[in-house]
Amino acid sequence: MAISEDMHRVAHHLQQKAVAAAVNERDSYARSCYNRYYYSVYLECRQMLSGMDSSWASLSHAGYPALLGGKIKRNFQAERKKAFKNHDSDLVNIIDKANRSIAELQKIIIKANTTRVVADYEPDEKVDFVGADRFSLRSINVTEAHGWTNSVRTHCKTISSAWRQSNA
Amino acid sequence: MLSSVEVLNELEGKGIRPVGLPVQNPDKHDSYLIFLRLSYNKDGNAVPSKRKMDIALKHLESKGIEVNVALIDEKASDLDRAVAALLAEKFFASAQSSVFSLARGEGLISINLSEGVGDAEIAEMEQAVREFLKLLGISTLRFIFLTPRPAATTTAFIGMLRKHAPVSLDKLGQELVKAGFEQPTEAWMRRTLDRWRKKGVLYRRSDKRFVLTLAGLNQFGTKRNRTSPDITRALAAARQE
Repeated sequence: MAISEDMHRVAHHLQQKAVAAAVNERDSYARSCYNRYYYSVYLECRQMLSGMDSSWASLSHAGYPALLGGKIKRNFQAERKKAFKNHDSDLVNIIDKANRSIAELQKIIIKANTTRVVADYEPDEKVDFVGADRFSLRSINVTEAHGWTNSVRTHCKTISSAWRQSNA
Repeated sequence: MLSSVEVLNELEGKGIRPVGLPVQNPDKHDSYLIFLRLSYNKDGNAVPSKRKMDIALKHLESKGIEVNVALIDEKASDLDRAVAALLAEKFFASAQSSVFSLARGEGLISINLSEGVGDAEIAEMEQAVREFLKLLGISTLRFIFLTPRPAATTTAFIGMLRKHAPVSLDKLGQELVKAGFEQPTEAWMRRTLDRWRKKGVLYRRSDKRFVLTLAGLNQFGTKRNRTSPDITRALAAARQE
């Protein structure tokens, strides 16, 4: 079982605790829940990056979007050019899709991190509890946060698959 | 450094209205994080447009402030959940998970497949999602079907041959599986090797093992970093000695 999966379970547990908790406690549970959902995203990305290049395992989380949009994208561009020259249309197609996944992954990382920063550093901004089992922070619904790990895992799979194909 | 309120005023001056006040980025100096809600006009284009966002961000960059934007795209989130529900209902055993995203009116659906899902079922899945999203006004779609063991592309195949050369057909098949690729059929491997041999990329030795020719090495190029296939090969050769 991947460590990000464990973290996701902890986040989900905190989510359930938040909706069941007393009014004076639920805000703290909800904040911790967003923090853990972010951490699960980070661990999923870290696992992908360390599989692609072991030196990326120690990179700080703030550098992930830049690495994806910089070195990794440039590598794909160079490999796509080569694949096109060698008439490998399958690889061209795979890299095009991976580039789109890179853009989506960057969006999720930034969104998860921004939500985490609000949860951790803006205690005056209260979590908005809506209905019996849902809440949101700065318009980020917890249902969306719950989906981050799965989305990130799928995008990471697309990117690492393209990496494996072009760097075999 | 500009304050949160000043950054907000600058953004609003460029027609960008974030959700709440910009938040200072604790990991970076002179950096703010904002949430921005996306909506769609009747032509299906996102509002605010990417161009408008870029202009506002460049404007702040010229004042020494970096702004990272977290997009709130409720339409894409709703569609993501709807596609996941459709797949869970109709293809429970075949589709493990999915993710939908929307960019410039084009939808991208990535579907994680279970082991052994055939082409017919993949086509059925694609058709079902296409029909469903067409009803919701999304007709330009791209699909990514992620299999547990993808088939090696020509580049991966030649790359593996290069790393393990001189290599026999059997050994090459084993190495591909070891690297996480699907076991290719012998017929496919023979056809592929023959095609590249005729192009002068490969050479078949008298012991029926294959190597890349100089022309092949040049055509498939190399890299000047740790992922270089030539370095991997040199290290593997050293280990064998």
